[in-house]
Amino acid sequence: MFQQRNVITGIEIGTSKICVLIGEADKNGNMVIVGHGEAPSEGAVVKGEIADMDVALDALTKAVDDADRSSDKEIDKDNIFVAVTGSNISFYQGVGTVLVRTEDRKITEEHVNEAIQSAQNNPLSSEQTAINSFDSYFLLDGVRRLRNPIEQVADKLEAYIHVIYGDRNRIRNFEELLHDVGFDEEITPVFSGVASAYGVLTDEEKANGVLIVEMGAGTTEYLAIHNYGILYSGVLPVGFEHVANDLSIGLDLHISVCRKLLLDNKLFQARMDDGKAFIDISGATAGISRKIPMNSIEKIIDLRMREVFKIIYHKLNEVNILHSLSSGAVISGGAALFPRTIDIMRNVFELPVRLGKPVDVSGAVTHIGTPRYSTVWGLLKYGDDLRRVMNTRENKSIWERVMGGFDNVSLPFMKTFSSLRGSIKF
Amino acid sequence: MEKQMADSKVTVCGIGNSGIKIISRLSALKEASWLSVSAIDTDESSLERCATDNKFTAATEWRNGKGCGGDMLNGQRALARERSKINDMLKDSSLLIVTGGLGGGTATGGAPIIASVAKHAKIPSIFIMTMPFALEGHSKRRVAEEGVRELLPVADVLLCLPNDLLFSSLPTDTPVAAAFEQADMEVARAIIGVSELIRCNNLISADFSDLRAVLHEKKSSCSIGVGSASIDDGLNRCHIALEKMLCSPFLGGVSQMNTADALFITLTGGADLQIGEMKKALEAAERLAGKKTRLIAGTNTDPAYEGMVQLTAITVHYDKSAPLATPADSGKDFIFPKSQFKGREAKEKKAAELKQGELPLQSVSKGIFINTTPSIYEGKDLDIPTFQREMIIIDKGN
Repeated sequence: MFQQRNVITGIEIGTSKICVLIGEADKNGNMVIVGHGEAPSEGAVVKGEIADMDVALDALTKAVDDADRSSDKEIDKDNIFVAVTGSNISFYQGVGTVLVRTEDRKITEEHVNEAIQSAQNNPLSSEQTAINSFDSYFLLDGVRRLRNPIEQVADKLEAYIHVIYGDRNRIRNFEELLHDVGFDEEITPVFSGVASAYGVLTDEEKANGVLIVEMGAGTTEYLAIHNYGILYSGVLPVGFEHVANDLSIGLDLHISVCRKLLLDNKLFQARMDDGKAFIDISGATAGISRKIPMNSIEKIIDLRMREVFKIIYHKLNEVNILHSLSSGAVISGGAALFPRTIDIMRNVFELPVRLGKPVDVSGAVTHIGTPRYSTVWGLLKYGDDLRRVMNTRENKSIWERVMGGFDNVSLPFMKTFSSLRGSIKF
Repeated sequence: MEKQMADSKVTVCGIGNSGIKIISRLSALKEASWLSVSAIDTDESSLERCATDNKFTAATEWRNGKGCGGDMLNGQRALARERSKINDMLKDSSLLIVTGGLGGGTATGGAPIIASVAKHAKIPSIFIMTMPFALEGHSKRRVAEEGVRELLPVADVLLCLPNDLLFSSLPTDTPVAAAFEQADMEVARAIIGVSELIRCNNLISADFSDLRAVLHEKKSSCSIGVGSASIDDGLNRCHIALEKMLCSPFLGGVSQMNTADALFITLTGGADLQIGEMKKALEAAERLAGKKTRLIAGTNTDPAYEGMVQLTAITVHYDKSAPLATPADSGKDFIFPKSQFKGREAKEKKAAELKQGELPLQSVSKGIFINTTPSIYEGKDLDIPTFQREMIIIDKGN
């Protein structure tokens, strides 16, 4: 039982691909990939939401089978993490206040716990459900902003927590799909943006403040993190498919030609470097070769990408977060592979931008070190962190675990986002 | 002198047929010896006439060196692919001045491309473009205005000189060839006048940033007057220079100075320029300016002007009917405090409400997203291609 718990399965049901990754913690506690399965979504997922359950089921079954076959481990039914996204996902910031009335005015775990519990009083309607929750920061006496308030002397403690929520039924769809494939146990949904952050960000970036943008085929998720706390998150239901669609409409090309054009980075880059005016596209209509001006292609792509980044920029600017992003921004997801993406993003945000690839990847499957797999790799990292939290609670009684005191802050999981009780199911 | 040039290399780039004529005039002037002159055109034959070595024909493989045929789109296509060459041409310049005639193909389409290259290379750019004569017809004017609209957001400074102003000051019996020659000459003089703005040895500073601050992002019409006089004209040479400046055809008369929203006056002289002269000239200019005019005066000296004085006036009239230009990527030039930014947006919205909308030229389509949940952000349907929502016309190729 205990051994089995080290196996973690991450499942991403994306707009372009459905991907299953099986990981296992080795002796040193590092995550090692032992299995990988993947199938194209083929229209089953649109803008991050499942549009056709049957097609999705087929693809997922194939991906799970592949993953099973490639690893000789059974998929541990207890540790399944699925990335969820879609335009329905949003967040609210909860605030919980506690007055410190003890003699020495030192903040204890109980105080923190109480503050967090009152912050979690949820304002969601019955159609909505919380997906993940993280603490953003703590405020002492209304002025001091801290990551860890324990042992500090103060009169008042305020906990700010970041709760990511979504449409109950739409999230349920993801879980139902997994049940259909044969996973009966509890499935943990994780917001894709959170998973990507786990997958690609370094501790230093998370401490200094960073924006991660995960631009996939159907959606773009973004997450602003400062001092290990999430300050802002969101989803824009616009992805790289939109770029392909724009090209298809603007240049009268078939959508598949445009997708190929965008994926074939080498062709595109070579054309740009050579300064060629045209790109020859054959077979667009009845085998006639057409000369498409590079200028038009660049213009369409540039306009769309710029718009996406600008929307994110304005949202962050409204709440004055941009100035706390000392480590700049990270772009991940399939769109990050496109050569112009980083430039455009840098231009819009005026921040240093780096390419986000899965960090610390090891194991038999080595080809996942590209931005396309950030999310699914992040699921494993998230699962691993969660497992550690659980293990530290093994010693405590059930009652303690449920009502649980605040975990010892020196634990390594605090190095990443500290997951709260709300995100852990018992 | 050599050292100064190395410090601040100013590149003047002529684009298109009329741009090349202007720079040919320019390179003949001795005051222009410190400027680095270059030329770009899509028409080989017009480039051949140009004396400078620093020139190239854009997109020969495609246009065959035969020009653009007055098609702005062709000009844009041609120059867009020569970015690296343009970049080579511009590199290590401290200022770029681009000149040409709007209304044709190469200059109208190509100027925004040069502007974007310059912006990318972080070289400040001034565009001194002539607007077509009214007698050249509406279609040309429309093309020229389209060009101005595209250029405004990308260029740091855009000075549009209406050719029509020329006729208002020339006697009717002027030979046609001489009239056009003079037009080119006046533009060339204007270029020198503007380039003086950023010269070193600024005694009283009126520099590029002033010009930029006044002109940036505002749709405005400009006029330029240049007048020079030498020591041979007598002790009163500054006065003569002023009179010449006021008569110069692109200025459009004293009334332009009276009513201007902003007025730049630069006095350039040799080492022999006297303080009394300077005082007299600038005071006279100051009297000419209207009460509401923002006056920016500058003085500099240069050995090349030994025995000469030159007065340059740039008048700026803001176009009050048009709202602030709101280009796709100009917002980042300013970082507004939050409240101010909101105010600006609100103002823009108001302006948009009052304006009658243009009919979209393209039908709006959603392609593969036709049957999906719409993604609406601030009233915009994000599934519709950005270029369609922003009404940008895309060249589909042939």
